[in-house]
Amino acid sequence: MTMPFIMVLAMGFLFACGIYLMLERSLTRVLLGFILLGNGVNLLIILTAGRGAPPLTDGENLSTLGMADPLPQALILTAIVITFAVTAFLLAMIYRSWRLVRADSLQDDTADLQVAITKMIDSEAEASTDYDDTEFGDEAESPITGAIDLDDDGTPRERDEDAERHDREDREAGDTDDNPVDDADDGATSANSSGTGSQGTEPEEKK
Amino acid sequence: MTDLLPTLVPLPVLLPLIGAGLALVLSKHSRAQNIVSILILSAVMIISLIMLFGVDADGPQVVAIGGWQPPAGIVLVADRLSSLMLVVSSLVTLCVLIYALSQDANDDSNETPISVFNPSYLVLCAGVANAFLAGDLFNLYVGFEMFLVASYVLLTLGATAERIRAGVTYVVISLVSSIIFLAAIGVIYAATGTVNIAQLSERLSELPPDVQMILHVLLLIGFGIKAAIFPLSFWLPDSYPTAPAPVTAVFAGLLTKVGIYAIIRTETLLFAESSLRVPLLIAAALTMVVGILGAIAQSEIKRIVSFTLVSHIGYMLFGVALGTTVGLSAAIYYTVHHIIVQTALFLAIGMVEMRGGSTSTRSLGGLMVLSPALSVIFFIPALNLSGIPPFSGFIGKVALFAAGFSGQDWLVTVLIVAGTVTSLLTLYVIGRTFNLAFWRDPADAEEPNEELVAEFAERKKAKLAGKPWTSQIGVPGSMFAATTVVVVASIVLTVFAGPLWDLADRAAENLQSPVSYATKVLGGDGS
Repeated sequence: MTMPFIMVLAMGFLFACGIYLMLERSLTRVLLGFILLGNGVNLLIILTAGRGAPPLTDGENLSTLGMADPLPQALILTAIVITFAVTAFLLAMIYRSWRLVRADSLQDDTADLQVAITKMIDSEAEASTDYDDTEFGDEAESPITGAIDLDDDGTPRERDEDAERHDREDREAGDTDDNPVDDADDGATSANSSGTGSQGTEPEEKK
Repeated sequence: MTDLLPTLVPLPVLLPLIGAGLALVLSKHSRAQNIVSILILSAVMIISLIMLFGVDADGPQVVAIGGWQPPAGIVLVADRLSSLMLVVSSLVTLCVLIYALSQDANDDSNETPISVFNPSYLVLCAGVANAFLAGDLFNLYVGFEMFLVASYVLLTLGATAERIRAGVTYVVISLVSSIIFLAAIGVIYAATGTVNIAQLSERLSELPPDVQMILHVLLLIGFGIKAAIFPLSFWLPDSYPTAPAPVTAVFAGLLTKVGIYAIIRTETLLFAESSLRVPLLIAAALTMVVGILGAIAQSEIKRIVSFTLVSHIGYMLFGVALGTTVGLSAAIYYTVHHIIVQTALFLAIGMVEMRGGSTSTRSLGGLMVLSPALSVIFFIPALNLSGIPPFSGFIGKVALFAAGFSGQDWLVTVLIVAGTVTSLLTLYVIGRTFNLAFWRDPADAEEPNEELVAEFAERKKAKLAGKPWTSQIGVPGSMFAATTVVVVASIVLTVFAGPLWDLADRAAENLQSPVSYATKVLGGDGS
């Protein structure tokens, strides 16, 4: 079995670039790295088939002389399909990650950080876990302000005031967004507002 | 019986796949979907049991899929090891399914969209079964991919920020492991011209030793990531704890053990002659010690148990690395024990979370008083995990150490010491967790949970006044029942340790003679 040197070189190049890209923190680069790695492996498998005629017979002459090995071609088909499906899933996940945290990078594990620095970073941890628990993305963040319904203990008026206060706070938070000192506070209020948001949507879901 | 067995072999893969399709079609009718899923998994469990007894009596069953004979075609091979693993995995998956469905039925937050859960869960079961039954490396890869893709979906159910973060780590690491495995398959095919395990066991030993070593290491790295062996284990405690409790339970119980299963196959059938005994033993020792040290630092019960999971993988690797029949039987017994105990523990933790509002030992407390039954359900597998004498964890560890002592080797002695220390540290971690979450007054917690504190005070008042007291927050009975079944299964492992050990021993003997495996697969005409 002979392998064309240029193909082996290409395979090595794909592996090298793929691994380099996968070491990045940016998710899009990880995805590209995975695609390159996958193609590198596919190339590796197809190279094992060796060069030869297509593995087809005319039905009369059943000699396999000079044919390429058909088995790697069957294997690579399966491998390509799997890589394709997983790439699609990764893309969807990266998009979701972008929707949720507005960053194309791998996020730190808050629980891990807590252990590492022992100090509790409560507000941040709460903000990151409570933040947008629903399927509806950004919609769930803004509470339904016009809805007239009773709170557990209060009157509808109390809720309206509450919502107004949140709106005001949200606006202020938006203005001072680039101030790092306020960031923790900011996270806490946004967690609160999404909390009231899900309360607000509950009656609507029940209808 | 003999005629029936080959027909049964493909069913543990086929039935869940058909079930997944049905469940997808029935996604609008969650009740029908649940019934289908439960029926399918029960059927798989019964089939696996019949297979185990049949295979134990009649020897390995080989089925050539689609009539294409090995080595060219795809074969499914059910020998003692794979049918034993199938029985355990089907029991665990069935119990976890019932648990998950009843949790979902009682869960107001509804964070797991059930229409997606059932099909992916069934695909996961099919993938695990396929990996256990695979008779060629590429089919093993396909089995791995099946359950991995299903696990990606299950881990990111609901797609919250926390789960997506954990999911990214998990998916990328799993992809790397799959790519390495696939590359290993490619290189092995290039070197030997086959992917059939039986044929490989004959041809690999003819290769030059250094080529063998490269192939061996490539495969072990691929499987090692899946099995969470020390230098490759960092992804696990990072990603498992965020998933819903039943999902974590089945991942922790089964998925890492599929990696161990693959390692057992690699070490015995494929590379019986090229030994990586020393590196494997060192990896096993480090896995045990580093894992349990990680657990000590944690304050989340889910994370603590994830770290003990990593650490106890070391015991199985220890048994495999010894390379003796006794070592292998101990590893097999320990694997069975660990699947069941780890699942039970995670299911119990799921109920703790439901009952106490969180899994942080910084805010839990008083559960012993508030929910005595739950504490028993948690306590038994917890003690079992740390290897307290009457339980199967103790039997498994003693068997492993006994297998090690028969070797007379200083490295193995170091490993036995590491194993003992790990076991004691596990007891310490588990004891501390139990102390904090179950025994102390919830008001003493660092971040007291107000509901728990109020409830605890109410309970105290009722007791002083001599009035009966019932809790407002209950855990659904069917969740409780499912967990109890797994806990009882773990006790059964102790009671029937004798027969089970004999079975593990026979399975290990099978594994030690790759030649008979090869003749069975290649020589048999598939009937």
